[in-house]
Amino acid sequence: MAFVSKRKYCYFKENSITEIDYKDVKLLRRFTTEYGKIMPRRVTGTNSKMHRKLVRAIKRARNIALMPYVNVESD
Amino acid sequence: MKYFETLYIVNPNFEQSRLDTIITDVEKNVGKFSNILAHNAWGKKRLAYQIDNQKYGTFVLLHFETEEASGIAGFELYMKLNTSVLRAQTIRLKSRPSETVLKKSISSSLVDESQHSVKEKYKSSELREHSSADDHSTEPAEHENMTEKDEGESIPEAINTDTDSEQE
Repeated sequence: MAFVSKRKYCYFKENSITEIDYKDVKLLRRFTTEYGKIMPRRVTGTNSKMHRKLVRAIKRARNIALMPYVNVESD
Repeated sequence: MKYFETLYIVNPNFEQSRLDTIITDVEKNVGKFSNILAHNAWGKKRLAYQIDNQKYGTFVLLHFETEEASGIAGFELYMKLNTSVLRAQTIRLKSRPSETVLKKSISSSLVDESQHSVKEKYKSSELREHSSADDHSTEPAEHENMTEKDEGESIPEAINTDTDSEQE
């Protein structure tokens, strides 16, 4: 296979982040697709503990309209 | 002591005086059962999706501490019934928010989206939106599927990349 995958790493572990704030939309956007879907752990490389926190933060941000549930326009 | 954080969105069409009265009303309601640590308006911001046909909203962040959390239910009901508040979300904090968080009246991460400490080391989300990081992270899976199904055919891949670039 010609394709060589890039090494995956946990962003939060690398930057020693232990808590994720739902108001930090800029950070959360890294872990969603352009349509607003949460990217799977197998793609982002986030460890499971932080992924659970990340999912909670994204869902909170969605609830308070900081992030979209569905981004059809992909602005 | 239990610490809470409420973020609520006020109708953006209200003038400053009306916004002030809403904020003081909320403060009165919360003050009944708790001690307010900070109460800051972020200002008008575009919503990710429309709420009550409003594209914009005035965000207000409230921090408070309380001994008994029984008053929270009443407060949440008050916020829900308050027609000038488009949406409110109350969250329990694990520890007392730091002074810097409380003092920061305007959240840097939202309004002035430039002060994130770790962002310089990595690609910003804006960059990702335009092109690279998202493609790098999502494409591998797609390509693998492609090559499994259509081995030897280069056309599907070419189409795939074309549509990707169009979307961007």
